[in-house]
Amino acid sequence: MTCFKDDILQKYLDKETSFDENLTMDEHLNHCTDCAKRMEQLLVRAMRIKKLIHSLGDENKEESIKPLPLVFAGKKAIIHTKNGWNPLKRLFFGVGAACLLALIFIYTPKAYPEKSQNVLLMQQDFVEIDANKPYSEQETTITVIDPDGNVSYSK
Amino acid sequence: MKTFEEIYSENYTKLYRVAVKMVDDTDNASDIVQDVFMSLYEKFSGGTAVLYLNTWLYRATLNKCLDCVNRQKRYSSLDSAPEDQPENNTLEKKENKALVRMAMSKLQPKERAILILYSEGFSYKEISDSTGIRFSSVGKTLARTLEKMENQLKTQRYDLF
Repeated sequence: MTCFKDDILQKYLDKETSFDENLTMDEHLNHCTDCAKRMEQLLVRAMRIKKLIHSLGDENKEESIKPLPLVFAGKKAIIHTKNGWNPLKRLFFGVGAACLLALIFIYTPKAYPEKSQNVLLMQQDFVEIDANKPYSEQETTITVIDPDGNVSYSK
Repeated sequence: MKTFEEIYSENYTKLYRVAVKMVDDTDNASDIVQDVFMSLYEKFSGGTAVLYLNTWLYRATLNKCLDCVNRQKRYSSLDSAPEDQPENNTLEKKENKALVRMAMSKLQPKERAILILYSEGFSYKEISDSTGIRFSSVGKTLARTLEKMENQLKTQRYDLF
């Protein structure tokens, strides 16, 4: 396996590599002394640079928090850090939405069952069976119910 | 949900530290942080919500610092008086700080921002959110910046590395 570049090693040092990358790198670093050595150098470099940059802020340690400017004093500005929604605003919108839904529900005309468009045929065979006649000549009554509910018979 | 005062006292020092490292001037840094909080206050007074407060604060601070650095560069020829250093610092410490400042001044503003946030212990995701650099590029940019910084420091004083 080829050796890793500095940026990948740096990512590994900063624990920013993915689980799969970690496995691959662990395996590689176990037998590649060059990469292990380079990583050690990068670690030292990062630590030194961090320390040097930190030293820039050292002289300002005594800097205390400046008092809140007068503009802000006495004003309770409420800041929403999570999702930016004011709970009051959220409540207002929630109640508004609920009212709207209720109005829609109340004023929507009730849905009645649709009128059937089908014609219903009811066939009643062999009202009176004549044993002397064949099947095709037996009397049959057909009841027809149209969509308006009118009933008619035919024999 | 926090009050403005709470946010101010929680974040003032952190933002100030970043600003000092960026602009290398305590007065300017203080002004920048005050300015950031003023913008935040105006934002909230106007009814605008901030989704990720910390990211917003750092981003605003860095942007204002970059503006300040650019302004300083523009007027550097007019105002080149050296800043007074605190007296309790040893000569060596002063020298090191001057070297670090010199090395950092050679970096691009974004690289400087990355380095400062990295030194503050930010994760790559936080660095990406605060500087606007793509998350996938943070690792590469950081490695390159560290290398540049190392080379700068080595050129100026070999024993620092």
